[in-house]
Amino acid sequence: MAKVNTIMCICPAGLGSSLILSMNVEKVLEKLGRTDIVVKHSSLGDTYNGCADLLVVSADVYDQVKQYAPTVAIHNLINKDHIYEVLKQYFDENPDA
Amino acid sequence: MGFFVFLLDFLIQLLSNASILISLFIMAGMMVRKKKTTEIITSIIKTLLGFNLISGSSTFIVGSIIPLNTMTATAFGFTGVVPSNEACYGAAAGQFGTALSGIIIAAMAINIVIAKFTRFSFIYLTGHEMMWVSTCCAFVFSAAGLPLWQIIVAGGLVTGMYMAIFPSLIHKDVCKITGSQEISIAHTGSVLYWVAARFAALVGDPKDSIEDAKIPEGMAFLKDWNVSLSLVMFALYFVVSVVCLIAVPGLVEKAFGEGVNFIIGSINYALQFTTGVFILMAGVRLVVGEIVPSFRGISEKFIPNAVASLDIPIVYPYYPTGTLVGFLCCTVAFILAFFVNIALHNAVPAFPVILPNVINAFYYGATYACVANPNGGKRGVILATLIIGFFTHFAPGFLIWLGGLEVSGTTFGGADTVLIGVILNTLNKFIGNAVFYVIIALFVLVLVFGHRKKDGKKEVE
Repeated sequence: MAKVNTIMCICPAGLGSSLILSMNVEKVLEKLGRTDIVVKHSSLGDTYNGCADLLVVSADVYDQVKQYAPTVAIHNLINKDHIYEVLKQYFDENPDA
Repeated sequence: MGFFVFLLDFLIQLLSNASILISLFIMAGMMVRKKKTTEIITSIIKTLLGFNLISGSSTFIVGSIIPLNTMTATAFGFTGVVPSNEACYGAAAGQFGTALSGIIIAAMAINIVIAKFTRFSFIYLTGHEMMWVSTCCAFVFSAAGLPLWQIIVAGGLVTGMYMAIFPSLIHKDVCKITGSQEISIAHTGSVLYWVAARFAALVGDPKDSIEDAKIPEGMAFLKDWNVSLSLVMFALYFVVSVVCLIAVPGLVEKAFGEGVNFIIGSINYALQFTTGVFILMAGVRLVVGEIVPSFRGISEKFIPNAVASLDIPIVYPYYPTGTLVGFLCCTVAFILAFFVNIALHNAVPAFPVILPNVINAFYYGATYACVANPNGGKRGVILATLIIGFFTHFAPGFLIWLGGLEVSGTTFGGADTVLIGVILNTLNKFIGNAVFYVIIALFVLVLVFGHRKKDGKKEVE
């Protein structure tokens, strides 16, 4: 896996949930010592090949976006511990990322 | 003297510019959060760009609705209204610029005041939904002829009270879904979500969860707005133009332009509508993406134990099957309701024909399902989405009929905006401009009688 420079958070409309998710992901990245990563957020329709290095998405849209980039699903968008676990696991499994 | 006039003129233009006003607010919020200058500059430019995208999008949206209205008006004798929050906001933003920005900023301040001093300790973090309510207030108060400062004060109070109080309606149901007290839902459908939850509790059994059911996943691609909107708008254009071709010769040429094939015309205009919504959403995303972190930063400073109220898709991951079932049932309900709506319009001409909007079907249906499942299980989900969904279709009609809110063939779709619009407009009809003082009195009542509950709620931070 290539190095992660950008993360895109995605929910159906790209307005509310993905914004909250991106704010939480930013906080979790601080904890992981990865403040070099830029976190963006957008909608299902705005997702395309290469829009980001890693997609961190609401679990209900996982199947629709996983084709575009490496994707992790978040089941509880407001639980930072859960987001931490998921991201930590991703970075542990992909040491180059 | 010349310089003072120049300065005064500059300041007036600066502060009466809607996007600059919001930018100043965001700048203040970022300074409170001690952000770097470069980050502040980026945020301000993103906000200004966002506003430009929003105003640019209305050309597409309004332009794509005109041919549809031309055809339905002549062939069926009615002008259909598209109940789309985004389109309505896009069309109205230009008219009420300064009032709207003023209301948004005032509303956030009022939300923080109420959350701080009363039991309604909810912070409304769904920035775009807040914009819809603000627009609704700006529209009704402008129509009532209040002066600008009263529009901003009254609109800010109404929107601010709405933001602090309405999430409390469904907080308990959201707790049942997420299993924690931390969040509530901030969305302009909350009144009907509450109704759906109570209705589901009546008809169903919470132990029989919808998530045990198996359904085909083939419909999931419709969750993408661009896809579902384009398909539905195309179907709408196609059906209407076929009927027009048969019934009224020459009308389709008039609507689509000379020599344009009706299928090609339908595709063009359907995609033009979606393009408009796409641009608009990009703009709203830029603006909201800057407002919300500032608002959250400020509110966390003043009220650390407030309940954050978020957009509805936050609960969708808990019930993926329910979300899909709700969406499908609600779409069916909307289409049935549309035909009843046409009959109703023929009986009561003042009641407008609302065109079924698939975005509303998705958000309402999915959320009805999410709040219904923990209260009424599978039976509750299906019956609530079908029956409450059926009535949801008519809600925007009341907003136009009793609230008078219609902008360029669109109106708001949310039940809360309907409720607020209708109440304000009715009040205004009976007591005229005294509505301003009624709202101030209401605000005082909320502060006096909503005294603070002592048991602090825990915060996720």
